[in-house]
Amino acid sequence: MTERQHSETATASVARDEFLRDPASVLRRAETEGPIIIRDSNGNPTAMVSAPRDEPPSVG
Amino acid sequence: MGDLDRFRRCQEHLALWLRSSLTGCHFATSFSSTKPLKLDYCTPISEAIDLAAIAGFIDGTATNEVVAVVLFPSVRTPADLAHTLVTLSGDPRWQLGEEIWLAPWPLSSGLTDEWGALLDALEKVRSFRRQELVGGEPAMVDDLIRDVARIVRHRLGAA
Repeated sequence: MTERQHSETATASVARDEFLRDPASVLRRAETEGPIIIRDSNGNPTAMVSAPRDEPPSVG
Repeated sequence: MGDLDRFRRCQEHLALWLRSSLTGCHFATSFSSTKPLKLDYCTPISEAIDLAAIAGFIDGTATNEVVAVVLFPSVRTPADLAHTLVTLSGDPRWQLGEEIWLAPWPLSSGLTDEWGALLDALEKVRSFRRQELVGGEPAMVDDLIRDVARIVRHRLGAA
């Protein structure tokens, strides 16, 4: 398994149809669960959404 | 580095850039200093940009009252950017149009070149943004163009 495949496997997923039905609730999920990959009907990733609320590292 | 790590790095860079005041946008600086910083991100993964997913993402962030950011980490060249913009314009909510780029700070050092740049910027305002001027602003711009043109002519004559 490549690094990319491992990373995608470890990340939560949601079906594209489910995301399009209620994107707001998926985004609220992403706040607590981390990045969520949107997958089409064949299981292929089309996009990733994330809602990080932690502080980014400071400059320098 | 895996793609997801790269996306996370892009998000961090964007948040830092907004917070650094380098954008020159007071709203961005003020908003990005709020804690926690409420930015939601959407990043296309597949080769074909999923327009419906991006539209749904923007609607979802609006419902949650969070700022939406769509990141395209794979864009590397002007051609990539043009391709992305053209693809996005396939959705009615995105619009492509030709805009005149107005210099925000054409005069800072007072050198002759910059007076010329200021004159150019003012003439572009008069030519392309005149309909947005209100009250006495059109006359004010005309006066400024006349005065700045006089300064440029004087400086060129003195050189």
